[in-house]
Amino acid sequence: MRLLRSLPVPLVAALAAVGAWHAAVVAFSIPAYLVPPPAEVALRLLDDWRQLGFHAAVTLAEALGGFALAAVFGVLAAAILVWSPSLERAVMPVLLVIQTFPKIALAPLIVIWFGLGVGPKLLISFLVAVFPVLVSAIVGLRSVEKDMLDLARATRAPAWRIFWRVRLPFALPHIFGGLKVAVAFSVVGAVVGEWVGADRGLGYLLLWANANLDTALLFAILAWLAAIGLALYYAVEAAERLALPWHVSMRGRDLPLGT
Amino acid sequence: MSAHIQVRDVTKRFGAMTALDRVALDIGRGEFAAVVGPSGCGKSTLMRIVAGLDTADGGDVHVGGRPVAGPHPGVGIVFQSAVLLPWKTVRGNIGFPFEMGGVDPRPHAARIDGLIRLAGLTGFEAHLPHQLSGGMQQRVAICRALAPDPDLLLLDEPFGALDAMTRETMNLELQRIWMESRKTVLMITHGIAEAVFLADRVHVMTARPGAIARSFDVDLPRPRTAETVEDPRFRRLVREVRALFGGAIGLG
Ligand SMILES: Nc1ncnc2c1ncn2[C@@H]1O[C@H](COP(=O)(O)OP(=O)(O)O)[C@@H](O)[C@H]1O
Ligand SMILES: [Mg+2]
Repeated sequence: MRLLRSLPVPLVAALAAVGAWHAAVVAFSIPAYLVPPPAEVALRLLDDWRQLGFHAAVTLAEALGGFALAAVFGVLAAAILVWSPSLERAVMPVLLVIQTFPKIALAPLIVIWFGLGVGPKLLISFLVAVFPVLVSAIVGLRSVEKDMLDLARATRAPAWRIFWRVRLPFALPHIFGGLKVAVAFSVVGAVVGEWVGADRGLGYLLLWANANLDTALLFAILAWLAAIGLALYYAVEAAERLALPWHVSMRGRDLPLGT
Repeated sequence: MSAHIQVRDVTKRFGAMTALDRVALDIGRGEFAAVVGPSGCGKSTLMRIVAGLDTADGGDVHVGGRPVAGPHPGVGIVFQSAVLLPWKTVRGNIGFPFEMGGVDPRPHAARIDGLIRLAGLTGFEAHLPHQLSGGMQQRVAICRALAPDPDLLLLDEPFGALDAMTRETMNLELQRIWMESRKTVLMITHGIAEAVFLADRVHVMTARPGAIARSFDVDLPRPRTAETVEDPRFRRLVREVRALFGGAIGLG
């Protein structure tokens, strides 16, 4: 009991979940092709670590690429739109349509157009990840109080300096909120891209495991995907901590998923 | 000598609404002027036009003899909210006008130190805004406005967001700072007593359309103190100003 109490809560919860999983499989004699016991999944993770690691690296690279494109393009586009109200009026309705459109439905078309290489995966990953960044960056860049901007204008600073020293820093907390969503989306995009046509990556492996009813491998792949998602999320959060110590300290004890 | 600020027949419309209707106003160099009026009568609009942050639809504004056509140098502004940069320390925020103007703040370090002392912020130079009380944040905003040593201070309800106690303290501090520096001040407020207490001249605005109804000279001795509030002349002036609003305005 004392040992249990000294462990961090999330770890205890995870252990409890695995225990419950094992108990359920045994108690209800669930066949392994439906839900394999945790031990079997763990074995697959160990035995096939080379194969899993290779495909995970492929998916991770695609997701990172899509995410990086989304981050850069999203913030740039938001800056341009906030800069020019007339352009924003023209572009916003179009963006709204694209925003509500399920981007992953474009995946087959993208594969037809661009083939089976890495490019289409990056593109799909980018497409799903860019909107959270774009929208949060627009909101963030607009969130600066009018008085603050007036104060900056009154110093007769050039517009680019006002953008760089006032607008962008004020927008960063919002932008990081969007980046945290985007980084998870980028993995979704990469996996969907692999589903549509690929010969490598966790998405490809997932389909293979599915076709072969290799449920233990399926679970192992899901574990990898979960790990990749978490790692990316925490990487963005660490970057936020570095970039915005003032904001993180102000926010105090937030929920880890609070954006 | 001509007035430091000359506002001549300034008219401002927002769509069909006339926010300012031929407002005229002179403020002498080193004078403390207050503009009082109910909310929405165009006080902030007037101040923004004087600052060059907004343009008039009619009439013109001269500051120091020059027509105002945009933000001009030598102006310090304080708004109702402190609007500090949350990622910058007190010192960094006070240095904001230098940073934005591309001016090296180091030659001004002694001035800034003096302001920090004057505003009672000594020991808080390295604090971030969220670690300060509202009153202290507003003092940082005042220091920031004073840092480049402007000739003209524009204050838009600078203590409007503070509680009554803090507000009184800040009024006394503002008077002290003004008496030491003798800058021209245009202070906007909806507090009648506050205006009479601080200003050399109180301009009363009425709404719809915004216009100056009357101006009062306040020749109470300086420094004004807690006793000033008991002075019959002070009370009479407050009563006269209030009468212009038909008693529609409450305490303040
Ligand atoms: N940018 C703007 N666009 C439209 N109306 C405005 C704008 N700024 C102020 N107004 C209107 O002008 C009037 C005067 O506003 P303001 O100068 O802020 O009044 P005050 O500072 O005395 O409360 C108000 O009715 C306000 O709604
Ligand atoms: Mg106002």
